[in-house]
Amino acid sequence: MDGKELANFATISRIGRTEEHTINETPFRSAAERYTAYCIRFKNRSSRNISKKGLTLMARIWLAIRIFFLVLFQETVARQVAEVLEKRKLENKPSEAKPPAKPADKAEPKPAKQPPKPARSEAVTLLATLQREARFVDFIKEPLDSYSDAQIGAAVRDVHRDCAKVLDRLFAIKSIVDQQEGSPVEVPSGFDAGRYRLTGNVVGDPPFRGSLAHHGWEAAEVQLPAWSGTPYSARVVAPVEVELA
Amino acid sequence: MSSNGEKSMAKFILGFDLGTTNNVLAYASLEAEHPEVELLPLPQLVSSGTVESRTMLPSFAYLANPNEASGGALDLPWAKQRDFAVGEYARRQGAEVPDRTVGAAKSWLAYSRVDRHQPILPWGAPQQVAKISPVTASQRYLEHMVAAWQELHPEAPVAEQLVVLTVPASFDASARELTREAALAAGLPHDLVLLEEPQAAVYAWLADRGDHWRRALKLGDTLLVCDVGGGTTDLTLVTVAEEAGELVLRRMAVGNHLLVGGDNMDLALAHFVAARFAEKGTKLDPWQSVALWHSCRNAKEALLAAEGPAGDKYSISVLGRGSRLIGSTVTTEVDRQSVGQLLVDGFFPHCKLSDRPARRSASGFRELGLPYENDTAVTRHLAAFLQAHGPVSGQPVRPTHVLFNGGVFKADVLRHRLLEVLGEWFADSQAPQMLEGRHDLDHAVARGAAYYGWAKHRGGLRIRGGTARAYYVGIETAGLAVPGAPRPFRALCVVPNGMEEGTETDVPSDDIGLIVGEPAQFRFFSSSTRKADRAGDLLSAWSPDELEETDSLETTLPAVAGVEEDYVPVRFHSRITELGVLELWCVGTKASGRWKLEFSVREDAGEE
Repeated sequence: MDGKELANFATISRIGRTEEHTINETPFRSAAERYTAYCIRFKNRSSRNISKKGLTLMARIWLAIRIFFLVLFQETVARQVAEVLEKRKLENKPSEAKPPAKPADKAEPKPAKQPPKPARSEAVTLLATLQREARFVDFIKEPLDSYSDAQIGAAVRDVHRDCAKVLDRLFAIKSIVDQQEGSPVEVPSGFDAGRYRLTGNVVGDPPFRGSLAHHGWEAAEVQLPAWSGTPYSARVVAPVEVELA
Repeated sequence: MSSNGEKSMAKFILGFDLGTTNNVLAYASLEAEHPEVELLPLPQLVSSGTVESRTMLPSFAYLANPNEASGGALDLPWAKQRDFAVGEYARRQGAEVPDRTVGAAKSWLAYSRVDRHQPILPWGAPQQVAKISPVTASQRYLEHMVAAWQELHPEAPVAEQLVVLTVPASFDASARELTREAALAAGLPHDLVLLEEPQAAVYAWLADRGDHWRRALKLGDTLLVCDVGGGTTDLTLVTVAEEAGELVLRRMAVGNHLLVGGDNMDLALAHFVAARFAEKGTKLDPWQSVALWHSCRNAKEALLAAEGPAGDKYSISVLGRGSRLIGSTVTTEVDRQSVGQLLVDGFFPHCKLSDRPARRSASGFRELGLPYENDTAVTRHLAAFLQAHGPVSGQPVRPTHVLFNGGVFKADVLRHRLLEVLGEWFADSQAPQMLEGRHDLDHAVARGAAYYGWAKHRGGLRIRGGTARAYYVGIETAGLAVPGAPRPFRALCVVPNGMEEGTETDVPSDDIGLIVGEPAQFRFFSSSTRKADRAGDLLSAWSPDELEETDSLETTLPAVAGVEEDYVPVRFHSRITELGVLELWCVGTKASGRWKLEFSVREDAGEE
């Protein structure tokens, strides 16, 4: 492995970890999930290894084992590894594939190649949805200084109602725990730090007992619209509106 | 369906609800032990280039300007280079680009004063817009749902599945035929079954109750299905009868096609609020009026909910159009009581059982267009319906239970009001009650359609009833011709009310002479109220309420070589197929031969 490739693998292992978080939202059930949980505990160590001294032999062995299991149990990671290997294959034999292609590119004005449809950031899609259905961006971008509270209140009712509708439809947002805020709760051992945030006097071992300060929010589903526009409009949150007489 | 007609490769039953304002597709696996009905997510454009899945596909078609459509802004996962859009995006465009948006195509299907095959929609749009026909519009909604199904189930082609498509009970034979035509063009199989929407709502209720339905309904009960959708109101009565020791459901009567619904309520509220703005000196421009209509739809739901917003005032705002949102927002307050009065008393007023809906104004120059009801009082239409279908004339039907359907009844206040009015009408005995169990107001029709298909295939309770209407052919009587006066004209009953699927009958009558070699046309009428007429009865007088004229029928008899006579004596023969399709035949009485009568295309229609 050369340095570039290792950096690629490092990215993959980071991606792997973000995946782990989503998987851990549900209680551990399968071997794969137990395994990824195990990985989390070692995450600080491996990143330290990369950043400070490059990769030691031990770190590489450890990385190889991780990659093995991640490829085995997580389809996304497997696909990404396959991509990296494919890219490496192309880079290793540039003499065969690339040179003939280049002169051709120069000679012709520009081939009418179908450019791959660019994906738009899902965040922009969400913003566009909130703007379209609830005028969210208009509302946030407008300076409030010159308006009375009553004026703002009049507008906010509609924006608020329509934003809530969007959140409900796209994310089905619900609270993580059902208890009333203020009531006593128990945090089980083996809890996920992404689901529970402990504050105050955090000592000893779980299960922890405490009082519920916030019931948390969770997206029960993620149903973002698919977007198929042109690259030129990929970042458009709201189009220009022109009324024709 | 006869056993040899069953498809062996069918894996699913699909229930299509082709609605006036929304379409839904429900399905169930035929292999499952119990009918598990699911709703198909329908991917659709919600904005240019943006596709989102919803359970409902709004019944709107947006016919884009060619410049707008280039670049794939209206493309769907399964269709590229589209120049039109259906669904949510089309609905939104409808408010801002009305000249390019088709709505209420289904109501046009039932409107026999225009040729439903001609490109006439959007009604009144300028010439540059490439219009489409009501049949094509319906076909596009169905095609969209078929494509959505095919995306998810490529292994189960629609043409090989069992398909049920719902139509309003008030649709007459020609509107049903046009619906079928649109369905076949959209790729639905030839053996698709048409089911009446209120019956579908009852099936959805039956599916939900399972065998427990017998606890809720007993012998002799009468169920009123009250379906008030976005644009139409459909009324049906179902009775519980006994056959061979088993309880069976029988559809007893259906109402006329009433063009009044939830949209009228939104518009009424919008007019009311616009007047409030005017009082304050705020004049709304057309864009703001549309936005107000949208706000009123939301406000209606909030204002009519049992637990309404706190306080007696409710503020309705119209957000500013440009990016300066707060600065140009206008607001007014309405008080709950006056809005309650406006909507509840305007659409569900207290009235007497003997009241009748106000008639249409008798202006001779009525503009051609959909015949929207003049009287928006659903309760008065209901009173007329119950009176018309009583066991003996002059005595109303007394429903024991009510099943609600349609988005309008999400408002508790309206359900309560309707039950209250029914209670007043039948104060001397037990008041009609709401049928217990789940009333899924938006999706019940599609769910019920899928359940019905499942029950038809696998065995289960079915509602009997036959045709909801009686049908008549107009016959000119022979006699001395008086210049300037039409010949006396009679109506021959060819299909009696309640004629069952899979039956046929000869219509006894005098011989009718059909001219050979040129099209013979018959005026065709239907009635939902004349129940005693038998096939062969000849009516010489009827009140204009009783008989409704629909598309005429025609047939052409080929000239037969060697036969001298230029007309052939025939009688009628009528048949209702297993799939609920009405067929009328002319059968020669002397020479052998039979000719099918087809709905004819109106030549006078289609122009503005």
